[in-house]
Amino acid sequence: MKWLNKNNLVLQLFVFAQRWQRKSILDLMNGLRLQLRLFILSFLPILLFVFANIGNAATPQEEFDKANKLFEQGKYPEAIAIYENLIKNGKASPAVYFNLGNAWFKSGKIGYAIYNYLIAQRLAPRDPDIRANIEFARKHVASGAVLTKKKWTDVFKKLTLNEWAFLFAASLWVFFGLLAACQVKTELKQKLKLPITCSAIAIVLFSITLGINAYDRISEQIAISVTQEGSVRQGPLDQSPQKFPLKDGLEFIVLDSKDEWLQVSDYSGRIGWVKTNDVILLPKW
Amino acid sequence: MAWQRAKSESLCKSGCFLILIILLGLSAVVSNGAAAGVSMNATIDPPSITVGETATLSLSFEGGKPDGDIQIPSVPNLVIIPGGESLRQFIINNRISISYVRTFSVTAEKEGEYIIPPFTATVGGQKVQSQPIKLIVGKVDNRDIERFARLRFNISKSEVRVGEPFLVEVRLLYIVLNGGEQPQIAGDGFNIGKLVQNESHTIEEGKSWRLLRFQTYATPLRPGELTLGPVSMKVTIPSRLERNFFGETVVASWRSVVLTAPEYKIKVLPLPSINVPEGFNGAIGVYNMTVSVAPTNVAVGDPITVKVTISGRGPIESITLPEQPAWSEFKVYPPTSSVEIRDQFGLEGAKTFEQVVVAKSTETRELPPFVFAYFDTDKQEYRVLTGPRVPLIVRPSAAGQVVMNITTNTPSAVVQTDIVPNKVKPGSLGTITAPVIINPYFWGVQTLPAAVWLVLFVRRKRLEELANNPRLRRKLETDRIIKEELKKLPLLAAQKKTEEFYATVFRLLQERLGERLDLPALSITESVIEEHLIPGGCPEELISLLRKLFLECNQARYGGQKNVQELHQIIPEVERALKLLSEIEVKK
Repeated sequence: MKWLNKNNLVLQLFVFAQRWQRKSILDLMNGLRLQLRLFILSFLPILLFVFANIGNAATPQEEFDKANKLFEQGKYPEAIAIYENLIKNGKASPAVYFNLGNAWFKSGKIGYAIYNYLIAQRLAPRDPDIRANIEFARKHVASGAVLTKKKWTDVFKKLTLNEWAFLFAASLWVFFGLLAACQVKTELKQKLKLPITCSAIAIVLFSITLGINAYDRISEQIAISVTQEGSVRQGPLDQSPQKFPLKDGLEFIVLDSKDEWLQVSDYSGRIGWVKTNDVILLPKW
Repeated sequence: MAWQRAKSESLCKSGCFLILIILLGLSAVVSNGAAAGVSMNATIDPPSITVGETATLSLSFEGGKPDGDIQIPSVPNLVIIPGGESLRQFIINNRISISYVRTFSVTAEKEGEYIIPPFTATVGGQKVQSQPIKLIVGKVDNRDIERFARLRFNISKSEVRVGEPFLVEVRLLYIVLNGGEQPQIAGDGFNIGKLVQNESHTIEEGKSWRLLRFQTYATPLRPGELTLGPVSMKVTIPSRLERNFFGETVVASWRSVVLTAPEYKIKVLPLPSINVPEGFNGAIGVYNMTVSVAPTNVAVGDPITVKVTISGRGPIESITLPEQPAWSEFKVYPPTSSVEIRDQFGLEGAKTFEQVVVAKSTETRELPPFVFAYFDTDKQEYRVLTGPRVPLIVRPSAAGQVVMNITTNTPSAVVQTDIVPNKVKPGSLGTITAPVIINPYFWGVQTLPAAVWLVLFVRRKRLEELANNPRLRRKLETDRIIKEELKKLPLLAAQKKTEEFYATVFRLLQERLGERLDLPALSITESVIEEHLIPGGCPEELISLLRKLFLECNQARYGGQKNVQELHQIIPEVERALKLLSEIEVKK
């Protein structure tokens, strides 16, 4: 409504300016000054229209605040829509994904909540709030079964993939930079022996950690159940007997696929088939 | 002679047969005679022993073997156990006498003078009887026993609560043993656990002993001053030592003795009757508790499993789950349990109960905390462990489930009951892109430092090579000069500067020839053709070309002017000569 009111105002200004413009043309046709004024006045409504619209368009910060406000009012679907719109328009951040996860959680969709928490955690792996909510959501999921398995590679997930990549790149540049300096000034060779060795060790370590992290992402396709009630079946058929019930928010590793079915394994090692519609796949990257 | 030898051999053979027949006849006579005169004789060795010592009683049968078992007479305080059987053969006055011997071990449990009644046996269908035997049993000197074995009894506490288990230990110190029985601990009003045995060495009174340690626990069942012990243990120890043929000390005989250790007075206190927590069901010890509940998102009638693990020190196996009055909104089923014992006495470990409860209505919002009360034997007070308050979603239809897993060893536990609230600052907003490692440009950029280093490395190697190779350096320098000077030739020709033109040509030839022949450039004249190039095997074309060029240079020096066209015609010849020179290797 607010937007419509502003548009009406702009329209009236435009009409007024047009009338005033015609009258001025008859009176002051020959003056250069008049022409300049005409030029400005003819564009004034357009400029006003543009500025009115710019003023009307909310900034991402305002959108974010608005979604938070809706969340606090318990209007979770509306909040979800705004958060998702922000992400769709390329205005994403760990906080947006985190709040989106919270909104989904409050809507009773634990699977979607975990999905967004996990993405937020990828972007900000050291955020304790994200970690706490993931744990909390997981505790609300299932039946005493082990939901996630701790792996020794988890220690490397304290940094994002990009952070590991930059550490690796930095050590590589330092290493070759020092080597290049030695080529230019051979007398530096002895002095730079220790820094060169250290940077070489750093390259090895960071390349290993980067490789492990990258492999972890590539090798495991995570699927999260988003259905309230479903079944993990013994085979990729609707008639196949149920192996165990599918609960909202259960996390799986995808092993195989066939048509509209995915073969999955939960963290306790149970293997079965789920329908692709019942799960959401966490992007590898 | 041969006849005589044959005769004597024949006599020998006949003699052997005769002896054999006589022996067989004699044995037949002996056996017939035996059947005719059968006797049984009893002896005991030694005739005098001490309590616990063993004497050997021998029954000797003359004239036949006893049929079946021998009836053993019963003598109070004497234990007579059948031993072995043997056959003895004697030859007296050329007569063979055979006797069968049966032995028995006789052990006295009390001192005194005993008369062992006659033994009765059947030999060849005939009943025979031995004579009575006298055995004197003397008292044992305790010092004789303590030389070989000692029994000790220790307790870990002298004042305990009813139901509180405490460790007790029986220690047997011995030099050598020939068997024994488990120690017997008298304990009226105590429940005594199973004995755990281990063996080691110890030193007491400056003497090395082998040590058998029996450990267990005792639990008082009623309050008051109770007596634990005495402890008795039957063992077989040496009664007499002797030195053998090699001078070693060996056991000559053994004796069975009952070792005893004195009792203890234990003060057993009742559990305090004040401040007894509600739901206390007699658990005593030091415990922790873990409670997990799953699922928590259920339909009415769906089972909810409450898993309670109680771990710690105490009679863990005897723990039972107390009733939970706060769970009135639930139907509670009897729990199942499993025990994991972590010590050898069964006093440390964990007992896990799985209790199924069912919510009765959809109004139920939470499962009240599970409460377990026990008497802490370390702090001597009652303590209450409280599990988490578990929120529940009870619906008419089955849905998701919740896992709450909280470990608590304190009466209260902090539980996260809701998600962490929203973030108020969005942070830096932007498009979430794929990691840089899948971007080829990232890896392309990473090759730059390596490439720079490689270039610098190659450059340094090149410089080093030049520094170590003056001929190569001169060749490069010559190439550079020739390249530059050749460019000037057309200009000089165009300007018709004949003298300068030929001076440049001459200089170019000097530079190249000097470089090829490794001579100073200034020392090069046309004489090098005769001195170096022809002997060096240069091609004829080059020789004639060089002769021509040198000749023209000389002519120009003496004032010969040429027109522009002529000068231009020379340039290709100069280039040709320089090219041929750069390709040849002059033999020195």
